[in-house]
Parts: sequence; structure tokens; C-alpha cells
Amino acid sequence: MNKTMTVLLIAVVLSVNIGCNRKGEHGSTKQQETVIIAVSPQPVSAPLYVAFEKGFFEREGLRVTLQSYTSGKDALNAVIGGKAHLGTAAETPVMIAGLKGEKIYVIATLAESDKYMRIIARKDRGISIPADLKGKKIGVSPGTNGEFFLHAYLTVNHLAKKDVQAVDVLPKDMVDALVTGKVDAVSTWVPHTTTLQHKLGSNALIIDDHGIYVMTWNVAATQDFVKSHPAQIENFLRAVLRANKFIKERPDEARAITAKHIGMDMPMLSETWDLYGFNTVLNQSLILSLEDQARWMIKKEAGSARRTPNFVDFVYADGLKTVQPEAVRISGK
Amino acid sequence: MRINTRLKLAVSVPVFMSLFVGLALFFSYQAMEKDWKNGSLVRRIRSSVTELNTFVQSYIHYHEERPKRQFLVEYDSMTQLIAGIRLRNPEQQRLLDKIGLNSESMKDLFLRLVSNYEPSDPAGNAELLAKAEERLEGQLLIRSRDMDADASRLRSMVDDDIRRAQTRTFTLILFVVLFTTIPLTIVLIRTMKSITTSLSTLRKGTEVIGSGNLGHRIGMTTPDELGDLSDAVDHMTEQLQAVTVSKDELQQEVEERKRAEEEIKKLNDDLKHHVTQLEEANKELEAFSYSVSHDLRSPLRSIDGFSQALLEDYGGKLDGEGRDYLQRVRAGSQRMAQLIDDLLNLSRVARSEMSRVPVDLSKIAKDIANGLRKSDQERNVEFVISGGLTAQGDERLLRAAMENLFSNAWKFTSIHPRGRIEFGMARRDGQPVYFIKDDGVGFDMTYVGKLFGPFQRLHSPGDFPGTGIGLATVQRIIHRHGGRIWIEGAVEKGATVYFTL
Repeated sequence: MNKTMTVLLIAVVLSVNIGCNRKGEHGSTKQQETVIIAVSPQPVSAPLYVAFEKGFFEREGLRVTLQSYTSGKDALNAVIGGKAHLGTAAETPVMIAGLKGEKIYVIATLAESDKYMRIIARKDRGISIPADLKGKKIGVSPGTNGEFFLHAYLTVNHLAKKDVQAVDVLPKDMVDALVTGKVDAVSTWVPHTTTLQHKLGSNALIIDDHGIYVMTWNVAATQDFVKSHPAQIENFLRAVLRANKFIKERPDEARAITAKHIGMDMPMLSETWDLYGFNTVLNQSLILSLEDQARWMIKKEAGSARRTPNFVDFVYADGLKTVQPEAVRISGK
Repeated sequence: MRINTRLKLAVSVPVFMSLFVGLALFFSYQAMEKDWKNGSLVRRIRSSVTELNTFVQSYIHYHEERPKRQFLVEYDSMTQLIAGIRLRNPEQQRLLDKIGLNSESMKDLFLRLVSNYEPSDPAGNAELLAKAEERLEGQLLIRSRDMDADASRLRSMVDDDIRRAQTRTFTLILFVVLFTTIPLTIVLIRTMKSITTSLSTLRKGTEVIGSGNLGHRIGMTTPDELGDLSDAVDHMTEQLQAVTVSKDELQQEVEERKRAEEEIKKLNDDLKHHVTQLEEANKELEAFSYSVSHDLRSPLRSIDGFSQALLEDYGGKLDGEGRDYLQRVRAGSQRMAQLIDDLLNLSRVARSEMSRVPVDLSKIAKDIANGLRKSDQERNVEFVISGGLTAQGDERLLRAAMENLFSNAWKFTSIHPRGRIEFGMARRDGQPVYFIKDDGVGFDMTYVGKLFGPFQRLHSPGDFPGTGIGLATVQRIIHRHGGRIWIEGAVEKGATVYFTL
């Protein structure tokens, strides 16, 4: 009996050990490969900062360099320009790149939020209700979702673009433009919105119409890079998923890491932290959102012969499907 | 392992495992039940999302009252459904909350769409209204797809939970089968086999022992009750063997003793037979001696009488030599008569009946000493006789023995001008030893062995008269009293006769 029990116990111990070893194959035994990620320093980039700081990338065999860009638009341009392998951007720059025929892939949506975009207006400029925006100078960064949000807001409130004066402002200058009174209002995103709220104090009118727009924060790469590095894409996604888990389990530490990288005070960051759903997915809604914005863009460019592309072709779902199949909800992918 | 322990295990493990499995299955079933319930609710949510999408699409196309109302009814129903669900998995709950928030946004957008279509100011800018409608419709579509994706994902997750619960239950059952039933079966089979083998070994062993081979040992070393039983049987056999060996030895000893007793008895019988023969021979010899002595006395008296008559009647006719011869004949016949008397005495001593009474030896000694003094008053002999010496014995025989001994002492001190004869008693080894000591001529101890033989003499008859039968007679008397007699002495230093009674 003792012999039999010993054999069974050994079998169990061995199977457990083998199980552990298999699990360990995803560990630090991989050969390190360098990946440059262009990141816009925004709270929604938190999964990348956490994965970077906590060594999740290294554990997946990726030697990651983070490059900071003031907007997702710039980050995506860096990817398209070959300065980075991966980049973070909202769906608007992705849509524009798609319209331009750039060969890019969205490999995952890192976060979604319908409260990320806001219009901050100065009350001292006679703006106390949204309708007062009429005739006012509104700062906006063209080619960003700030521009789309402004459009959406005006449209659902039955205002035409010509009813306001849209002023081009670079994302980095957005706060100064409003604070100094160069513009009467701005359409922008976190952290600029939060900074402006604090700087203007009671003088700020916050226009927050979360029903009209859902921002998606995506990771994109050139199609060439994705096709030639499918394993790295999978490893990158594994690290990001692990970071998501970390954010949910240890939000304070995740916030501290993010605050350090984006140069934002912890209290300010905490105010908006719950606005972002850190959930790595690929949803059909992304395709619809890209198409919706593409139609807007085409109409905006009066006389443009461009047609809405099939954005499904701009999504690479194999990587995420491999590491987390249920995260992919796009028909045909 | 002991059989008792094995059987206890065989009973207790299934009971314990049944309880454990029962509890585990109960909790597993509870969890599965909850997962199934959640799965059912999530499916209803997803169905609601689909319905909402359908109503939105229908309203966008036809702007009719029915889809608008149904949208709102379905929305309320879904909101209540979501509010009633609490999921254990935080990720699932987060998704559910997100669906709730999206549905709220969707309702908001839908109502705005309705409001846009049914403007309070019918004179509003139609182009702007159309643009707003288009924007709201786009967002509604995006929201509904987002909700659909989340509902689909949530359903997958809940389904995964159900699958996991099923796998868990299956694994549990498999675990029980693998780690309980199989080992238990093996244990029971091995136990049965072990018991059967042990019993067979025991049976064979006891058969061998039962056939009388007490040297056989079963020698089972299994660490269980049957091993103990084997040890006990072996121990019992060992004891039995030891007892049997002792019995054999005892039997052998008894037989040897019997043989020895028989041998002794035989020897005794032989001895008795020899004694009887000897006694008979002795009696015959004594009777012969007595008869011869007695019968010889008559012719001897005739020889002496007629020799005396011849001397007296015809002495004058014979010369001196003739008369000397006759005198010698007479002396020889008288001496022979004396010898015959002594032999008769010796014979009587051996044959006479003994009557044991207390005898005053000191008085006898004094009587004999007085008699000897009177017989030759010229001799200067000192008698030293210890008083109060008594003994149990035949007075007549003891007196005869003491007369002989005193007579010898008197005789052998006769050549000294002064003599000393002592009668006394000493103790050796606690026993009284009587002695008669003289300071006469003594004797050479070299010949001490001859002294008690009849007709044995160390001195010539010319020096000391006698027949040489006295000490033989004394020895026979002492022996008849069961005593011992011996003599010590040296030439010219006297002799001491010791005797016990």
C-alpha cells in the first residue's frame, strides 16, 4: 500500500511541477527584444507605464523604451514615421491615418471612456450655459478627438461649426490658451481638462456631455511590424493584460506610477481615475466609431473623393485572440 | 500495516471521503447553481440589448410610436434586471456595471433622438436637426455595439465559470476515484491477498507442527495480527518442544533409576544369598569345629588317663627316657585339650545368644584385677581402673573379652619386675573408646595385622604361654556388639588395646 501511495504522490508532485514549469515558460527565460513605444502622457496610458515599471515587459522578453509625445496623434505619427514600433492614440488619429491609406494596425484598445473629453469655458467670457458658446473662440487641436468632440457637441446641440470660432491650438498649449484668455473655451482631454478646472477654479464652465462620444485609447503599429513580429505583439499584450490586473488589484500603486510618468499630481489624477475602464479589448464599436468619424471627416473636407475605408482591415486581432480570446468581439476577426 | 488498521482505514476513509465529497459536491452545486442563474440572467440581458438595438433601428427607420415605447419598456426591464444581479467575480461585475451605464447613455441618446425628431420648435433648422439626428444615431449604434460586446463577453465569462465549476466537480470526482477508490481497492486487494497468503502459511505450518515436527517454525514476519499469531504459535511450539524434551529426559532418568534399583536389588539378593551361604557354611564349620573338639576330648582324656595310669602302674618298669616320653605324651594331650577348650570357647562366643543390658565395665575390670592379683601375689603390678565406666552389652561376653585382655596384659608384663595395667575410656569423634594399656613387652607394629588371627602368635609359647585364640575371641565379641577393636604398641613399650561398643 505504502508503495502505491508513494507512486501516486510522486505522480501528483511531478504533474504539479511540470505545470509550474510550463507556467514558467512565460517567465524571464525569453530572449530580450527591443520595442520602442510612443506614448502620449495621459492617464489612459497607465497600463503601459505599469507594465514598464513593474517589469512585465521584461518578463515577456521585451526590452521596452517609452517615448513621450504630447498627443496620440503625434505618437501615431511617430509609429508611421518609423520612430517607434508601437504607439498609443485615440481612434481619431487612427481614423485619419486610415483615410490617408497608412498601413497601420490597431492591435488593442487599452481603455474606453465617455467622460474623457470636455469643453472647458471661461465664465468671465459670458459663457454660463452651453448655448453661450455661440460666437465664441474655441481652442481645438485639429486631427484629434478634441476636434471631433467639439463637432459632436455642437451638432447634437443644433449648432453649426460656423456658429463658433474654432482656433487651432497645440495640445501642449491648450491650458495656456484658455488661462491667458487667448480663447474663450477649449475642447480637450485629461489631464488638460483637470488642470484647467484647477487653474480657473470657479471661473470654469465644464461642459461634459458623455452621451455623445466614447473615447477609445488604442495601441497601433505598422502592418509590416505586426506581420513580422507576431510573437512580440502577443508578448506585449500579455504584459498589458498583467498590468490591467495589477491596476485593479493595486490601484494606488498604479496611480503613483502613472502620476510620475505623466507629471500629474496624485490628487488630480485620482479625481479622474474612475473615468477610465482599463480593459484590453477589440470591439465592433471601435469599427463603428472609426467609420462614424471617417464619415464626419469626409464631409468636413468638402469635395473630397475619399470613401470610408473598411476599418476591419486596420485591426489585427490575432494577437489578442491568442492571449485572451474573449477580448475580441469584432465580426470576421 | 496491521490488518485492524487496514480495515479501519478501509471503512473510515470511504466514510470520510463520502462526507468530504458530499460537502464539496454540495458547495460545488451551489456555486454552479449560482453560475447557472447568473448565466440565465446574463443571457436575458444580452437578449434585452439585442431587443433595444432592434427598437432603435426600427425607430430610426420609421420614427413610430411602437418601437419608442417598447424601447423604454425594455430599458426599464433591463435596468431592473441589472440591479438585481450581484456577481462574485469583480471583473464580471465591472462589465455588468458598464452595461448598465451604457444602457443609461443609450436611453439618454434615444430620448435625445426622439426629442430631435419631435422638436419643440418645429421651425428649427432642418439641416442642423438632420445632422444632430445622424450624430445621435451613430452614437446609439456605437453604444449598442459596445453593450452587445460587453454582454457577449460577460456571457462568455459566466459560461466559463459554469464550465470551470463543471470541471471542478468532475476533477473532484476524478480525484476521489483516483486518490481514494483506487488506492482503497488496492489496499483491500493487497490486504485480502496478504491475509489469504498468511492464513495458508499458518495452516501449512500448523499442519507440520501438528504432525509431530516440533522443530518446525512458521517464521512469518508480516507486521500484522497474523504475524503476531505466527509468533505466538512458534513460541507455543518452542515451549511444547522444551516440555517434551524434559519429559523424555525424565522418563530416561526414571528408567535408568529403575535399572539401577533392579541392579542393586539383584546385587542385594546376591549378597543375601552369599551371606546366607556364608552363614550356613559358618554354622556348618562351627558345628564341625564343636563336634570335632567335643569328640576329640574323649580320646584325649583316654590318652592322658591311660598315660597317667601307665606311669603310675608301670612307671617303675620304664627307664627315665620312657617315663619322659610318657610325660611328653601327657603334656601334648593336655595342651591339645587346652586348644580344644579354647576353640570351643571361641565357637561358643560366636554361637551364644546375646542379651544387651547395662554393664558396669569398671566393676568387671576390678574383679578381674583382684583375681589376677590373687593368682600370683608375688607380682608387683599396679592396676589403674577408671570408675563408673558402663556400656550396653552382654555382660558374660564382655566379661570374657575383658578377662582375655587383662590376662594378656598380666602375661606380657610378667617379665618386668614392676608392671602397670590401666583401664579407662577416651573420646574420639565424640564416641567413647575403652582401652586397656600395659607397659609390658609390647610388639612390633609391623605385625599388627596378624594379632587378631586365630592361632597367630608374636611370641614363642616358651616365653609367653597361650594358644593364640584369645584376641580372635575378643575381636568376635566386640564385633558381635557392633564395635571396633585395634591395638597400638611398640617393642618394650607396652601395648594398648582400644575397643568401642
